[in-house]
Amino acid sequence: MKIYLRFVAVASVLFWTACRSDEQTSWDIDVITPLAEARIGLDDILADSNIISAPGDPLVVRFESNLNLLPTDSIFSIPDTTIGDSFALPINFNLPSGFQLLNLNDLVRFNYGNLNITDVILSSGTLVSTITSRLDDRVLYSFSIPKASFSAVPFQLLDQSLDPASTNNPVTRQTNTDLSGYVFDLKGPSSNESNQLQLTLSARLDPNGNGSPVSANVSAFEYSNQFLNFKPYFAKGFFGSQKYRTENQRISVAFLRRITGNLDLEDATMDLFLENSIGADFGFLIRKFKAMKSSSGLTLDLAHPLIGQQQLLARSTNFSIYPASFSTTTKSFQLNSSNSNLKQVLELLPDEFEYSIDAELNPLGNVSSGNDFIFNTSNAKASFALTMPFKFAANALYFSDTIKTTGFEESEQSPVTQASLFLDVENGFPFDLKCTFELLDENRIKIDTLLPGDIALAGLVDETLRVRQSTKTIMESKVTPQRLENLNRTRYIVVKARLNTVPEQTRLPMYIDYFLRVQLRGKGLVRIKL
Amino acid sequence: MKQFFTLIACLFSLALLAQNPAVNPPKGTSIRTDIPVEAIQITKIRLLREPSAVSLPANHANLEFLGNYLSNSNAVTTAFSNAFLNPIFIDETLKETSYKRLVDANRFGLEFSYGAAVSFFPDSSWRANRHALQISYKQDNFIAAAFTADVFRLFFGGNAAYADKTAELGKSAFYNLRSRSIYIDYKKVLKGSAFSFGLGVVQGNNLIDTRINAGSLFTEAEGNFLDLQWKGKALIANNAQGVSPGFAARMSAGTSFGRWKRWFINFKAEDIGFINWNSGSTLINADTSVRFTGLQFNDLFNTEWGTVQPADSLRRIFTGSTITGSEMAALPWLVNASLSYSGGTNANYMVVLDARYRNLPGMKPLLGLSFYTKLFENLHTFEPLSTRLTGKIGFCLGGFGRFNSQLGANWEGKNQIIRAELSAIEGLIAPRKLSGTGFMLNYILKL
Repeated sequence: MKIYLRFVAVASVLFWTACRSDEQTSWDIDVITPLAEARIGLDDILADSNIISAPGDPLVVRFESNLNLLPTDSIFSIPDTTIGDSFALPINFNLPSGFQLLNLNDLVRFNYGNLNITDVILSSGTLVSTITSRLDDRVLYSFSIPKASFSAVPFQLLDQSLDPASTNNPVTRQTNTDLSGYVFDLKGPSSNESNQLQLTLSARLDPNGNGSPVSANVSAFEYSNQFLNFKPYFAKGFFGSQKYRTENQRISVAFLRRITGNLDLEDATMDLFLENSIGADFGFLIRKFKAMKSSSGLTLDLAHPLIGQQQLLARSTNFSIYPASFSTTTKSFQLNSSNSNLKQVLELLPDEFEYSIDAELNPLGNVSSGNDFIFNTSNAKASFALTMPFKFAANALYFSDTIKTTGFEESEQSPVTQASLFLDVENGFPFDLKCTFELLDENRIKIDTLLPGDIALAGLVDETLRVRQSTKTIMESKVTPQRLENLNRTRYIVVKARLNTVPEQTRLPMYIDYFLRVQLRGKGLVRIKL
Repeated sequence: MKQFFTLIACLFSLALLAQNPAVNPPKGTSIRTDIPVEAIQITKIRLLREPSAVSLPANHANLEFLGNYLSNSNAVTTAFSNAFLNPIFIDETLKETSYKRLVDANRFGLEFSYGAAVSFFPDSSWRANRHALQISYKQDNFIAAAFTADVFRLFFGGNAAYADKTAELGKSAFYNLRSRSIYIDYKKVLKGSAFSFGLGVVQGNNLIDTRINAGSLFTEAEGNFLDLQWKGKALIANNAQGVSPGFAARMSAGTSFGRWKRWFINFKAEDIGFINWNSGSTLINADTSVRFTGLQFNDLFNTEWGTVQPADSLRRIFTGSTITGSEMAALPWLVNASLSYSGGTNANYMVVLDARYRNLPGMKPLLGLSFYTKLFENLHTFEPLSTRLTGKIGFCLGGFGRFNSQLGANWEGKNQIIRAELSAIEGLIAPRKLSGTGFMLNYILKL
C-alpha cells in the first residue's frame, strides 16, 4: 500500500509542478478607439426663454427676475385665534330647570399688530366651535356671529341642544364650519373700531327638564371658538406705516466665479419695472447695488439716478370687489450705457451682487382715512430685465474649474503598455481656446499637466464676423507609466481654458449654432492578462 | 513544453516502478506459449476492453482517480494553446503561427476535468446478481469557441490593424463552463452485456455562453468612431450571487458478440441535464447597431465625475437589452458510440472505431480509429488476474480540430491499473501541421 501512496503523492507533485507557473498568460493588443466625447453648444448654456433674437440672427439675450417688495403674508398674516368661556359655581348648588348658564356678547380681538382692519372677506378659513356640558339635564344653546355673513345671511347656530351628562361623563359637541366667502365686519359693536368681531352665545337648561346639580368649582358648561387658517380674499382698513428693510442681501452668480479676464461687451440694458396693486401708497428706495468679483476682490457700485433716490408708487384704486378689479400703479426705469455704468458692472464678470433696499407702506400716513385695501392677488413688486446683445471681445478670458475624482485606476487586467491619447477639438466658436488639465493629488499638489500649451484654433469667420467653418485641432498626449501612476493618484483636476476672440480687439456676435466638440481617442498597446 | 514531456516520462517510469515484483515475469519473458489455446480462450483470454466492461472484476471495489486535459483546434497551434496551459507571454511570432492557419470558420475546444470514483462489487447477493454501484465526483471545465479569422485577430491583435476596415464577427461563439458534480451509477452486467444508469447533482461555478449570429466591427481610420453591429445573445453567470444547482443523468449500454465475443459495441450518453443559474445571471439579447464615438459627457457642468462608471456605460452601449435573473441552461451533453474488435491468437491486439460528439459550439463529430496491442503480459493459469502492458496508437478526425494522433499506454497490475495517454500531440507521431494537445491519466486502485 505504501508504494501506491508514494505513487499518488509523487504524481501529484509532478502534476502540480508541471502546471504551475507564476507567469500569467498574456498578450498585447494594438487598440485604436474613441474613449469619450462631449459637445458644448450655446444652446446647452442658454435657455430658449433667455434668447429674444430671431432665429439665425446674432444672439440677444434677456435675463429676467422678479422681486416681491412686500414680504409674503406681511399684510395677510391673520393669526389663528381662540376665544372661550365656561360656567362654574363656588358652591354646590342645584340649578333649576330653565336656568340661564351663559348669555355672552363677546368680542374677538384679532392680533393684526399695527394694522387696523375693518373689513375682511375670506377666501378660506374654518371655525371650530366646541361646546361641553357636565350637567345632568339637557342644555339648549344658540351661537351667532352677527357681523360675519355669507350672502348677507349672518352666521348662526340656533336652537342647539346637548344631551344630559354628568361630571365624570361630559357631553361634547364640536362643529366645524367652512368660512370660505364669509364677509367679516371687524368694526365692532360701535362700528368705529377695528380688528374686532362680535360673538353671541346663549345657553340654558331645558325649561321642561328637571334641573341639575352643580359641584363647587367644577366647570359645568364651557365653550370655545377657534378661528383657524384664515386666508383673506380682500381686506380693508388702515395698513399702517410699515417699513421693510433689506440690508446687504446677496445674489450669487456661481457660474461666473469660474470666469475671469477681460471682457468687452457691445452693450447692455437693464429695465426696472416697479408695480403697486395694493390700495396703499408704497415707498421704494434702492440704497445700494454693488457688483463683486471674489477672485480679484474688485467691487463696483452701480451708478444711476435711481440709486439712493426715494420712489413713491401711488396707491391702487379699487373698482369692484366681485370680481376683484383694481388699478395698478407702475414706474419704470432703464439703465443703459448712457445713464449708468451697467456695462462696466457686467464686464467685471461679477460672481456676486450685494444690495440694500427699503420699502415702506403708507409713507404719508393714513391719508385714505382707513380705506387701504388689498386683494389676495395684489402685490408690490420689482421686475428686472437685463438685455444685451451676446457680442463681445475677449482677451485672456479664463474659465477655471476644479473637478473632484476618485482617480483613474488602471485595470490590473488590462494595463496600458504604450499609448497616446488624442484630444480632437472641433471649435465652432470665434475664439482660440487653450486648455490645460492640471492633476492634483489628495493634498492638492500638482503632479502633472495634460495638454500644456496646446491651442484649439478659433473657427473661421466671414466678413460679417460669423463663424462659417469650424476648425479641428488634434492634441496628443503620451501615456507613460509615470503618467498612468499620476492619473491613479489624481484626486482633483483643475481645468483651465483661456479664450481669445479672433480677430483680436473686435467684438464678435454669437450665434446659437456655435459649438465646441471634444473627442478623446486612444491608440496604443494594451496588455491582456488571464 | 519541456515540463510537459518531463511529466509524461515520469508518469511512465512511475507506472513501471509501481509494479508488484511478485507478479513480474522473469527478465526476458514475454507471453506464455505453453498453455493450450482452448484453455486460454476459456479461462485466460482477457480481451482488451475497458475494465469490467461486460463482467465484474474479481476484486470488491475500485478506487479511481481521473485527470483529463484536451485542447484541440483546426486553426490555433498547439504551441499557442499551450500558452494557456503553461502560462507565457504570447508574442507576435506565436500569434503569427496561428494567423497563418486561420480559415473562415475556426474552432477551438478545451476540456479539462478531474475527479475520483469508488466502485463497489461486494461479495453478496449483489455480485451474485451482477450488480455494481459507483459513487463519483468530478470537476469539469469546458472552453469552446467558434470564431471567424477576424474575431481571432481582433481578440489577440486588437483593432488597430483594422483601421478603415470592417472585421466580420459572425458567426462566432464562446462557451466556458465550470461545474462540479456527484453521480451515483448503477450497473447491471448480463451475459456478455452491461448496462448502467446514473443520476447526479451538479453545481455550476461559472458560465459564459455568447453566441453571435451576425456581427461586424468597422474601425474608422483614425479611431474617431467604431461601428458595431451584432445580433446574438449571451448568458453570463457565476456563483457570486448564490448557489446554482442542477441535475444530470448518464447511461451506457454495451454488448459483445461474434465468435469468442471478440466484437464489442458500446453506446453512452453523459451530462444530460441542466443547471439553474442563480438570480445574478445576466441574459443579453442584442440586435445592436451602434456608432461609438466615446462615452458621452454632454452635460459637463453637471456630471458627477466620481460616479461615472465607464465599464457599465460601455456595456450598456454595446449590449442592448440586458435582463438579470435566474436562468436555466442545459449541460453540454455527450454521446459516444464505439465498435471494437479484439483480434490475434491471444487477443493481443484490438481495433476500435469510435465516434463522439459533445454539444459545444464549434464542435463537429469526432471520429477515431485506434489500435491497441499488448506489449507485455504475464498470465497465470489458475488465477483470474494477470499483469500486462498495452500500447495504443490512434488517429482521429473532427472535433475542434482536423486530423490528429494519439499515443497511449495501459498498464494493469494485480492491484492497480494505470492508463496514460497523449492525445493529438503536434509533431509527435504526425506532421507538425496537426494541432492539438492533451493527456489523460487514469489510476485505478483495486481494493
